[in-house]
Amino acid sequence: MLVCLIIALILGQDADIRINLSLLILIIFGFIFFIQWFFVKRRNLELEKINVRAELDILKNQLNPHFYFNTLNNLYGLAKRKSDKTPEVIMKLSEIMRYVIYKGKESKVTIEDEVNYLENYLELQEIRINKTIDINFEKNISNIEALISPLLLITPVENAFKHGVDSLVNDAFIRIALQEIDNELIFEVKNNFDTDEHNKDSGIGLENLRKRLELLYRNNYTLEISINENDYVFKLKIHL
Amino acid sequence: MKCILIDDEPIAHNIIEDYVKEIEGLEILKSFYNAIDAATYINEHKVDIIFLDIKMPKLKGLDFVKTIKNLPSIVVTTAYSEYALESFELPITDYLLKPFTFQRFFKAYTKVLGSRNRDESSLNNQEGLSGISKSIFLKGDKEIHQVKLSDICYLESYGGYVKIFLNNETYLLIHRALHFFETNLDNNFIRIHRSFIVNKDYIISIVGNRINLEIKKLPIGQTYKKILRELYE
Repeated sequence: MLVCLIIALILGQDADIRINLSLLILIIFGFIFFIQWFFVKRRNLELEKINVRAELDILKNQLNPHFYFNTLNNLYGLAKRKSDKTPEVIMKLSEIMRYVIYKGKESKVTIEDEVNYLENYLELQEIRINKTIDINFEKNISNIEALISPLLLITPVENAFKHGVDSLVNDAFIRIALQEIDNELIFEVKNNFDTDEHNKDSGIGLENLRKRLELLYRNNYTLEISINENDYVFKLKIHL
Repeated sequence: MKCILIDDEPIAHNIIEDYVKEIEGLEILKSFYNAIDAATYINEHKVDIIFLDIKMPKLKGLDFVKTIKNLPSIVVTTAYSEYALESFELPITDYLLKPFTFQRFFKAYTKVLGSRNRDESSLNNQEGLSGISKSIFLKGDKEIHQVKLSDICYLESYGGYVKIFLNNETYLLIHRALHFFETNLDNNFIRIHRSFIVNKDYIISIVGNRINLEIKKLPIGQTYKKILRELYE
């Protein structure tokens, strides 16, 4: 209707006015298109940001649920026999859950928080497993307040249990070393494994860790994994 | 029934050991922390049930179980729910997700009993023993009775004997433990109490802690309530 009206108007006037009117209409349309394009562009950028955040959240949530159920099963057994260890295990589990549920949502936490989490995790694992495991956690941290994205360091530790300790009948070891000097973080996890059972494909945990590192510390990290005859070494360097 | 358990967590051992103590007729021969030690043991001993945590070192050591003639029933105990549907290569009777209650554990045990009975009765059929109505031979004091299973209303433990009550309101006194009948009668018979096994066909109603049969009212034991609930759920 509107277009028909404009055409009728243009045809009805003389040449000069006709050209001016056409130009004006062109400019108005151009302006409208530009505004629209601008808003679409801005919305796309926002969507992208939301997507990255959502992706990071999803990747974080891939933490091993079996750990919780195994720990709960141990608590069930301890409570049933009215063991004195029960309160201690409940405390450690609740500290772990508080960290994962609340701190895990923040974009940065202190190294100290992340280290406490790892230590609680290791202690619960030691209660769970019958065989004596040789676990060693060495720390050399210049600034415990240095900030890091949460739940990054647990993945290789979890894997050391899953593919290392759990596959071996005895003589399992895990050596963990964490160093932070001038915002340069080096995290190394070394463990032995059963050579018969080791499957070479990297698990979903490691894959997600790589994706997270790529989104969070692009160009500021290196991740090396070396599989030797009977040990596995994970080495992560991050410039915080 | 003789069982072994295989799990790498000592507390998981405690839980099952405590449960087994509560079940009459079930005993643990030995507990293992890895599958290799267990495999050697199964080769040399008669084992009826294996309680097995599937996330165990050297589990492939159990592959040989499939080749054993008198295959033990396997009940998997695990925290991994996603493995239930995975093509797990051992023949499994039941799958328990940790942590599990005594009731759930007991259900697994009765499932094992059921599946073992089925195996045995199918064996009997192959030998051409029974027609449409199955029967058993029972050795009494002086004579051997042949009794149709459909004629048995219920069984009652009586010291070292079992009284088998028939639908003609008489009973036979058999020198056997009640447990023997629990493992050897078909699925139509259910344990409802430490001292009673009942033939489902004769149940008229279940009221509170009692089961009403035409000829008698029977009590229901605390631990057996759950199984009865499955009758109507």
